[in-house]
This record gives sequence, structure tokens and C-alpha cells, in this order.
Amino acid sequence: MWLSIDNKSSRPIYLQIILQIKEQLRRGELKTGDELPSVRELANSLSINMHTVRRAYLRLSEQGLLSLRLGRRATIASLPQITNSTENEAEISARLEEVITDALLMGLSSSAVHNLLEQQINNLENAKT
Amino acid sequence: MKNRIVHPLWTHLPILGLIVYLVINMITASPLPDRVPVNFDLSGQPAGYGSPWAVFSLVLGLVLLYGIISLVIDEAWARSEKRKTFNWLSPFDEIIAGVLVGIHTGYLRMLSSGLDTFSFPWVDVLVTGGIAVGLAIILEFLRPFRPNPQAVTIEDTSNLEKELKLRLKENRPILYWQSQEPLWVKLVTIAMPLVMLAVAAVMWFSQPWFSLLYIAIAVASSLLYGGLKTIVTRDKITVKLGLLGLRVLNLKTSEIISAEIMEFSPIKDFGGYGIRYNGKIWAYYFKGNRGVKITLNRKTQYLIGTNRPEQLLTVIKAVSGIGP
Repeated sequence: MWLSIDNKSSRPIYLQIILQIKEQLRRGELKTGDELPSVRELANSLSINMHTVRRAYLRLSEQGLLSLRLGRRATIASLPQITNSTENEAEISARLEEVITDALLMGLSSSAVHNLLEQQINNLENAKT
Repeated sequence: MKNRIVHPLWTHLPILGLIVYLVINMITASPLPDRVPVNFDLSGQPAGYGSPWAVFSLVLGLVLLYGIISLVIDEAWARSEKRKTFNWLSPFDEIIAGVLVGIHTGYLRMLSSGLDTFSFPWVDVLVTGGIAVGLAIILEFLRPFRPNPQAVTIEDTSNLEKELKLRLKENRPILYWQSQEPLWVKLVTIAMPLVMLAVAAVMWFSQPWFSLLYIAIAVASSLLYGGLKTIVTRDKITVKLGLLGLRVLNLKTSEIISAEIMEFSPIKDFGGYGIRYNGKIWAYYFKGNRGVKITLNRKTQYLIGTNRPEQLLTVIKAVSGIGP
């Protein structure tokens, strides 16, 4: 597992951790059963606050990607099925709804939101190859 | 990667047989008096008294201990095999366990016959030891060769390399983390100390010094819990050991002049697992047969075992800035 934190980024550090771990999962660099460093180890090595790391781990555990058990190191849980199940779609659609509402509130046009969405998908797909 | 046992468990039947024989002997010899001679001087005269169950627990504990050690050693041997080789370490546990169980059999016979003088039971030792060792050698000959299921897959790390370089250029803090904690470490750090503590508790009143020794060994081996962890940051590579996170290796990345993947044989090259020195290379690994060999500018060499050598190599090369 590897992480790199950008202190200057506007994106909160806990989100950076979450996104990087998810990205490594997607690329297969992290697999089910792989262990992650303890909250303290990670925080010390990157000189960040333990609460930040804990928050990231808790969020990942809520999403079922990480298994956190008392006295055990955090491990990657079995990954969600990569299918177009209606359940997955409903969850993503709910999350998108929140983001899009925010964007429209900020005054972005719907075509601008479309463009941003496409741009992000392209970025992620390109990183894969 | 799932751990699969390569070494067939049926090769350990002789020691299992010895345990069964030991327990049956003890049951058929019961009831025994509460206080019996447990220590003898050289001429066989009693020198100390205690419970016969304490003696039984000591023997059982030692046999179990050697059984566990042998389980680990044999598995390590089988995993490092490229073809079938005769594992001359395999009858080691049967030799010790056979002698112990033989002595115990003779001891029980002395107790039930009401005698007080102990003469070394050569016949029992030779018979139980001989049968167990003979069987162990036959089973070792019969043992088939099973290719190690953990086939080597070479991981593509070009993506990782690209991203790392980008992040390093931006001067961002970097952390690479991995751990090695195979099944045998869990056995040695949890199961073995529990057995030893149980034996220590039973022996506490009859042989307090042995008890203390056992407790000390149990505590020391439980400290290995957690295995080996390798942490790479921009400035240094650290290897931490066990429960307390003892730093066993701390290298500055600026001192590294080269790094490469090394395939090794744990037993033949370094004589086992753990932290090893073979006269040339300091090695740190708990499992597997691949690692990253690092050479420092003062010519010292280190080998860090890993399940993902390509990843570790890429990260080390990137942070120490030694070429692609």
C-alpha cells in the first residue's frame, strides 16, 4: 500500500487517503486480505493527525471496503461485486444527485456539469493504462 | 494470496502416535500417588518429589513444542524445494520426542512397580524412539514433491513508477507500507506461548525454575506478534519487528547505490527465516523466497523479503533516485 499526501491541495487529507486506497483497489495493487498500517503508523510516517487517518479508515469500513476489528490490523475486505446491479446503481445515483445539486447551487450550467463528469471519467480511465 | 500447506501433514503421524502412546500410558498407569520422586541423582536415587502429572505435562509440553517446531521447519523445507530432496531435519522431532516418551514409559513402570530407584530405560527409549524415527524416515521417503502453489507472477509496476515520480517531483510526502506475517508467526506467537504457559502453570509448584524459564520464552516469542513491517518514506527505509515495533533496520535512502530483485532459498542461503546474516547479506523476511537486495555506498548489503518485490523495488528506486 502506498500513499502520498498533498498538503497544498484543497481536497481534505482524509479524502486523499480514501481516494488513493480506492484507486489502488481498482487497479488491483491492493487485494482482499491485504493489511494496512495501523492508524498511528500511518499518521506518524506521513506527519498527519491520527484523527484524519481514523476518519478515512472509518469511512472505508462503512463502505465495506475495509475490515476493522479491535486489536487487529485493518485489512482489505472482500470487494463489492463488479456488476451493474440495481443496488449499486441506486447508491451511485444517490451520491451523484448530491454532487450535481451542489454544482447547480453553485451556479454551474448543466452542460458544464456534463463536461466535468466526462473529464473525470477520462482522467481515471487514462490512469489505468 | 492464500496460504496453502505444501508439506503433507501425514508425515507427522509418528509424533502424533507418540503423543497418543504417552497419553494412553499415563491413563493406564493411573491412579498414581500424589507425591512421587521426580528428580533422581546419577545413581538413580530420588533427589526430589512432586506430582506425576507435572512430569507428564512437562513431557507432553515438550513433545508438542517440538511437534510445532517440526511442522514449521518441514513446511519451510517443502516450500523451498525445486525438486524432491530428502529432508534430514524431518526425524529431528521424532528423535527427541521418542527419547522423552521412552523415558516417561520407563518412569511410569518404575512408579507402578512401587520401586524408588530409577534406572535409565534403554529398551523403552530404543524401541519407541527407533519405531518413531524409522517411521518418520519411511514417510519422508514416501513424501511426494508438490510444486509450490505460489507461482511467481511478475507484477507490472510502470503505473506506480509514473505516479511516484510525479508525486516526488511535487515534493509531496510519500509512504509505502507492507507487512509479512505468515501463519507460522501466528503459531509461534499465540499457540506456542499458550502451550508453554499451561505447562508452566502445572509445573509451578514442583519446578519453579523451569516454570520461569518457560514463561520467559513464552513472553519473548509472543513479542514477535505482528511479524515484519517495511515502511518506505522519502528519506528512509525502516523494517519493524513484532508487537513493540522494534526498529531492526533503518536505512537512509540517500545512501543506497543500487537495488535489485533477488530470489533466494531461505534454508540453503540463510538457514531459516527471520533476521539472518550469511556473511555477506543481512536478510529480513518471514516468508517467501523473493525480496529486494539493497546495496549501500559502504558496500553493505541488505535483503528485504516481500510478497510484492516489483512494487517494493519500484518504490525504493524512486525514493533513492537510482535510475529507472
